[in-house]
Amino acid sequence: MGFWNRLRNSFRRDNLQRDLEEELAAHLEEAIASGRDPGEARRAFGGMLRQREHAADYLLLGWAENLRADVVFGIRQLAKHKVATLAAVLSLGLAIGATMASFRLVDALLFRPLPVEGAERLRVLTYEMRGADGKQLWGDHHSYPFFAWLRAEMRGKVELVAAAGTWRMGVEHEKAEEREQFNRQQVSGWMFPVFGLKPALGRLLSEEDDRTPGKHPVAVLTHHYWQRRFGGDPKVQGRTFKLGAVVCEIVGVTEKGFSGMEPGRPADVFTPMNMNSEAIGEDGYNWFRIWLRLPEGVSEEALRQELGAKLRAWREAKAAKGDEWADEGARARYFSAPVRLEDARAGYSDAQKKYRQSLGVLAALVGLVLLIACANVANLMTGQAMARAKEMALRVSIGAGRARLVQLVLVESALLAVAATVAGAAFSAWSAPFVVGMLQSPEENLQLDLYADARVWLFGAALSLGVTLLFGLLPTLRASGVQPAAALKGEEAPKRKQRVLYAMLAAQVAFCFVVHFAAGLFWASLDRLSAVPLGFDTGNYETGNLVNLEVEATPGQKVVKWEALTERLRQAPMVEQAAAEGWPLLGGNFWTPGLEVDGKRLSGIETYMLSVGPGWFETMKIPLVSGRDFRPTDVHPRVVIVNEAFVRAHFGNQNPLGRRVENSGYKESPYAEVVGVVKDAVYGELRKGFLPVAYVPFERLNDRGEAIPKPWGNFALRLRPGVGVGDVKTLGRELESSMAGIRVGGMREQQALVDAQMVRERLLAALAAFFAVLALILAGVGLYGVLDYTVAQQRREIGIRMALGAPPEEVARKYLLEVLGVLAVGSLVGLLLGVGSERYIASLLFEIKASDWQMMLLPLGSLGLTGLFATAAPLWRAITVDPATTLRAQ
Amino acid sequence: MPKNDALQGTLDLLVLKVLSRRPGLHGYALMTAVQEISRDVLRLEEGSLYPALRRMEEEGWIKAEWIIREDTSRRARIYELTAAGAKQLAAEQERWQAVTSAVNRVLRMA
Repeated sequence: MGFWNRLRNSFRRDNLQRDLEEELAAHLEEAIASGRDPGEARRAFGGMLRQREHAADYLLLGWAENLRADVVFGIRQLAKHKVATLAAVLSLGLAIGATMASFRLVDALLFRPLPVEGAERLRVLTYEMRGADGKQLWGDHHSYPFFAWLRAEMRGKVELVAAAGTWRMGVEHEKAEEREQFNRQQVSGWMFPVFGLKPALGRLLSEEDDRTPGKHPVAVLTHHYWQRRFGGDPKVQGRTFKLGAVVCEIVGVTEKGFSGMEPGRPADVFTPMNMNSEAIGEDGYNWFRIWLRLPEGVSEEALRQELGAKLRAWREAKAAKGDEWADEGARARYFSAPVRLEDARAGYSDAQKKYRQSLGVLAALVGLVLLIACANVANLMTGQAMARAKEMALRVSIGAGRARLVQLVLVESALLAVAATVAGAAFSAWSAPFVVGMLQSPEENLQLDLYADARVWLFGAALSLGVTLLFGLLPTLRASGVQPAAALKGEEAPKRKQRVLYAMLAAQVAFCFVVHFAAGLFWASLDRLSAVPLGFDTGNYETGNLVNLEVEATPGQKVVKWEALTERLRQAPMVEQAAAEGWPLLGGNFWTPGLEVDGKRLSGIETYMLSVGPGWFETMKIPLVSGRDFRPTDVHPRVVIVNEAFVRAHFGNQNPLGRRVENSGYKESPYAEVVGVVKDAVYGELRKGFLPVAYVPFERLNDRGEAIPKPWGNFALRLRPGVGVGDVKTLGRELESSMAGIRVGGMREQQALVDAQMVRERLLAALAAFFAVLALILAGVGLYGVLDYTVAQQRREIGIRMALGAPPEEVARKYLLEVLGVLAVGSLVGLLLGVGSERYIASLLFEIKASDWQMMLLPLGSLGLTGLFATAAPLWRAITVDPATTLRAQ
Repeated sequence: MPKNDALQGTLDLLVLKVLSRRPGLHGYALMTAVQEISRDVLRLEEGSLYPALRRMEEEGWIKAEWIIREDTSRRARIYELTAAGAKQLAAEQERWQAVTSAVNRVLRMA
């Protein structure tokens, strides 16, 4: 009680004072009334002032009172140096803001725990796989028969939950004019009770809702979607929406905060796993992840091994005699594939995998910028501390303790840091959503919940404190180390102290170099990636846009008349050319076939396949080199058209026309004849460039020579010049109404598909460039400040030297050499750091290496120029020192 | 009035003792009470009384409150012993007894 009372008292000082005064006045009055001499009575008090101080001393906690005084004094100090303070707050604020923004992004995507019971024990089951090149991968998708078996096997030990990826898909709401899209996640019904989730409205799903394939048309909305789409309508229960042909009933809404388990792609709606009735019985179809929560008191390693043993048992039981294996090793690896339990406390998503490294690198760059800013402010304050040496000395000589001085300077630092943190928080509130906005496009959609929760505030507070110590410590030590006798006599600070400033400057230069170096690498990567030739023409408004239209058969309707549809599309007034295609190039789908040429299985180079209709090459503007295009009568697997990369890789540059490409999967028609060669075009990933591609006809025959119905496909459409993509929005509807039995899905712009390939590179390049500019400005300001201060401090010395006959060049040379030394040392360290960091960023780069000597030019050039600018003014001031004035003034 | 240094260590004791007998005294009344009871031998000095009161309030031995006095209709700050104060008083009294008896023994025996 005593402590808090005193602490409180120190902030209620005025009240207490009044209390005391009144009491004493009353006493005095009474004393006089009872006959004492007024003068004597007053003297007995020994003066009201002494009395007051004396009594107050017991009440006030010394340091709290001092703190208040220091804060007031600190604010006055900061207000006195308005420009310096503003510069410090702004630069530090930008750096802190960038740090907070990057923390918010990283936290929202990678670290924030899911709002479910026991989130820290959530795991996702993955198993080892081998990529085409033998590289180790970890597969995380499983089939439902395996899952159902495994769940039964593990019953009583651990509960397993299945959850498919969150997918954006078309939906028709009641009375809705237009088809919309939402994010649907299919999950085990018992996920909700297992995760301890509560409904905000109605009920959530349970095991009862997930028993029989196709029999549970129920759905649960997330709170967020309920608010957004239904305005939080309390009567939403019982309403329905159509997913394809299935009418789903809304039974409830989840609690606020839970939006699925995939950071980056929040779910809008949950439906039971068993509603994916086509996939539920398929063992070959891996389409969801298996989640579990480690039971208390169970060894994770034991559980992992048990699950691994189960996987092996399942695989061995399922293995067919006729299974072919490349070699015995591959077979053994398949059966004994180890499993892992991935920590999924913060969710588990592809977006995490995709952006983890990029965000890590950006966070590191931000950290460097923050260090630069801290060094800047530290230098600034050290300079001020030196200038205030006399004040400090005076304080020491009239009895201030060192601790008191430390507190004084630290308080000032803390004031700066708090102001900068506030500015930074404002900056991050704007910039974090801005960065997420950079990751938005029709094809790339990263959605992050960026609300500022306790974690963000805690981080901000910790950052503020850390920064205070980081930049406040040096000036603090300097201030408290002041020697009163020397300082009051006006002696200069020892040379040693100057060196600390220069060391900090060199560190700034080094960090700045690293940031510039990284920014240069990312820009070069983006530049090179966007220069990768596509091989086809995405077109534009003037030359005619290229778009892709997705078409599928309505459920129950197995056949789509692709040829007739193609004709109808070609006749549409805004369409110049149209052709069927399996999927759009760069659309994210891959087909790696089992092809043989001359009896040899194609291997070594990745080879892809794509089914296309007649006229597709013309639509895409991929030139035919020799041979012919597909005809409407061509079917797969009779004929094939290959690209030049295919010829180079598999025919050794011989004329491939008429040669046979064997199709190991087909018995009736084991080979296809090469009828044409086309120029190269990218297939699935821009980064991979031109790879061998075999184009096969869109229509396909099975082993018995019967046409295989194709319920799903795409059309490539070349629009007429002057037709915008927006103008053909209704094309899908028109097509649906003109032909029964089809549904037209989304339209994807080819240019957007290309752009989506560079989202990460663009993000890295843009943000790294921003940080580079920031770092450069900060380093420049730092250099200027230190030099300016140094010259001001050494005016007398310069004056004396000039009076003794030193020419200005000599004075200038001294400072220039110092600056050059700092730049050289800093750059060298930065260069080493930059090259050393290559392995952390190499996989984010494209066709560029950290060791490319050109990449050093940018940081060297920009730092050199900045150094020159920052040096010019102080240098001029140094050589224009007038010895007579300077010496007289001192 | 000569300064009475002997009072230095006994200020708390006197104040606590007086308050234990007559709760609800204000500062001036406290001072006069000590003076009267000691037949003018002991006098509390204003300069040390009030700081001591504040200090003892901080320690939680006494508590204070403002009242309106009936005789003068002015505000007065009156003091009262707390439980902790009573304990403190007992301790101080014991110490005082020990000291005085020790001093007496010295005077007798030496």
